[in-house]
Amino acid sequence: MKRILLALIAVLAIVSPLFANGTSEEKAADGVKVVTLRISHNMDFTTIPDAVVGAAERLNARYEAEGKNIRIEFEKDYQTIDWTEYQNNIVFAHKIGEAPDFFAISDPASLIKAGLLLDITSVIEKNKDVFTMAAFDGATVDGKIYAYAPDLPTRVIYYSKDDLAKIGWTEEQIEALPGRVASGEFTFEDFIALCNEVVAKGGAKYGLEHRPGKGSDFLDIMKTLGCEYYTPNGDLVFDSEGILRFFQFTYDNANVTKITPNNLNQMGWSTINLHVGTGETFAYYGPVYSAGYVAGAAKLTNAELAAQEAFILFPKSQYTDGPFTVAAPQYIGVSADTKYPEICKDILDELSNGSSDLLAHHGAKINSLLAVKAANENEEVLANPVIGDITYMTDYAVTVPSINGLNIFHEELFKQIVALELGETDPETALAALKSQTELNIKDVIYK
Amino acid sequence: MKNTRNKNIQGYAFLSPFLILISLFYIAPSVLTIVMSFTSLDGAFIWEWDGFGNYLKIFKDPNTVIILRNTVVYILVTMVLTIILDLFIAIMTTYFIKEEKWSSFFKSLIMIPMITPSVVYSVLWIWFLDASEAGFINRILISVFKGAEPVNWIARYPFVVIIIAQLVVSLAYGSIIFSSAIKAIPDNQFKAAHVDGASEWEIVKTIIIPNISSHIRFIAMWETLGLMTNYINILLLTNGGPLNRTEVWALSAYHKAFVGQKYGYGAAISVLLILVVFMIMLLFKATGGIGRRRGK
Repeated sequence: MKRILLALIAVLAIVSPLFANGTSEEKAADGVKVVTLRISHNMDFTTIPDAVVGAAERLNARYEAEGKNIRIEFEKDYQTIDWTEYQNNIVFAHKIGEAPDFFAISDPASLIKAGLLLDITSVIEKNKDVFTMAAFDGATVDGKIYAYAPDLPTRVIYYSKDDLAKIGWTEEQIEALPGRVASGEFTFEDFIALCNEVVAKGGAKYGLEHRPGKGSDFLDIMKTLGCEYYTPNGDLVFDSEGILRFFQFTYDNANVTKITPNNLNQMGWSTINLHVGTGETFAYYGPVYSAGYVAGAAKLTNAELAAQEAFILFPKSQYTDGPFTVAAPQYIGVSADTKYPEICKDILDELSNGSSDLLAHHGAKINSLLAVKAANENEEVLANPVIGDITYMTDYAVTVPSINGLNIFHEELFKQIVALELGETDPETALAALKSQTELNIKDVIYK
Repeated sequence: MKNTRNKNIQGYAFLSPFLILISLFYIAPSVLTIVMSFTSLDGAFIWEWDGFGNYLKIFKDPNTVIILRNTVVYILVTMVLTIILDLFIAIMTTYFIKEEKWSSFFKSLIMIPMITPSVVYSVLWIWFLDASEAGFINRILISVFKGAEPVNWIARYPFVVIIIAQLVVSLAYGSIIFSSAIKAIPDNQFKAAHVDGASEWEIVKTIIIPNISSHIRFIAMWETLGLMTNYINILLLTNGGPLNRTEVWALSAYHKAFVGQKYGYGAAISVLLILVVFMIMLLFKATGGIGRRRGK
């Protein structure tokens, strides 16, 4: 019995450090205080946490030069799980005092509401000339900024240059299109007419496609059609007229003009990416960073894709004042419970200034523009065939504030989109259904 | 008397670890779910009392009637078809196919969907019924009927798809139970029936089915409860859509709680489900009791 007990104690002694978490601090042999921070990340873009870790390494050198006896080390925890599950884990980790110091964020609103994010306004305000400040709108509540925007992934419209050539456009005309859209000369109505023309003339099988799941891209089209679905304070606006216009547009594309396949939502991502990469569809709206997935599906390099595909802003329409692109940064949060708020802020400061090349590397790697202006001028970004030519878009970038209930609205909106495209409902019925679900499930909505 | 009490105490002592586990992992979460259903708990995980707000929402929601109807139709159709097919397979593999080798072969075949992980199973269905030319059925369709357009099977016939997919998974359990029950019927009953010149259909109707009626009742209850609470195949195949055409009660609790992050609302839907499950169990127990009394 004694032996068993001793063996159990020995096992516990070996295993327990494996489960030990949280920020820790120890003195190294040279008398330097080692601060171990934990960084957690979810999904593909690990260049984001790598940039944070890289900035911390450079900060160590700065601390040493300044005579500060601190050395920052990191424990990494990178995952690829569902975002809701990831965010729940972050919340639970806070509840038991085991939260990572830095972590990825999918929905800043609920984390801010729960008081789990450190207020980093001071570090952002200090560097306000460094940033495209709109990048922080999604993480700002009552004038306070709660999360760091490492990038500025813009959502745009892709179009196939090859398909335009097939219907007789000259190279000059094709290359001039992004500029004409940016100037407001070429409108959204012109672009949809072009989608129809390309299909009618046999340039492509389909005119316009979109993602096969719920997402913010649909909100961009709603916005283009004059539906302002939020206030600057983050209140959801239910603009019946604008939503009805969007529903009619969606229904018509799939069932009347048929520029969108009506079974698009039953296709997988790979099929849609292939349609875009092979020019089977003329246009597609979604994030620029999807270009990497499109190239992968069509077995193309980034350069080969950029030679046949170009990107434009969401054009001005008869309902809007000008073209725009919506940027949806993948925010980094700092835990409100971190033992080292000042060190965490120092790391973000370093990342925004001396280490912005690390952000540039991230942007170039995933095909995304950056919130730090200098990073967009970095050679690595400019040399990227996908984003090198669209850095001008940062001037047109808008970000959406943290909107109460947007997740539920997305879910219900997408249900109606699927049914509209399948022809199983009509725009008026879809609007009524969306309204009843919004009234039932989301509080403090402004109805127009 | 004292002896009986001691035996009872011993019994409870042996059961206590199990009872503790049940309390910890079943009863405590159920109580928590009930409490949660009276809160507006969301993604921020702040417990705020909301009274009967979530329950009122359920009754106000125009989709509730659709979801209820879907649930009832889904359970009834799947359960009835499962029992009929279970009986058919059990009778075929036990009464008609006497050779153990072949009987076991067929039983093993129908076990395959049950032991296949749901995700793999659903992916196979999705590939099978893919809306594009790449789908297995569409490929066959196009190669047989030249110029035929691919059919969007899942979107066009979502309810049929989820019922068939669930049916195939459900078959194994019931047919194995029925098969064992048929084997337990004394052989002399069949011999006597044959001597009396009974047809095979009469044997099935008057000997096999009455002898296994309690097993049929058990499978009916088992399937009903399973179909009420299990939504995984529907989630993976149609996700309740298009619109709410295949949304069932348990799936709607999942959607509200884990997609919309309305944990309080999801809990309220689950509590109503638990109540219905409880009532069905009582109902089955009552009808089972009547059967036993009649048997006396």
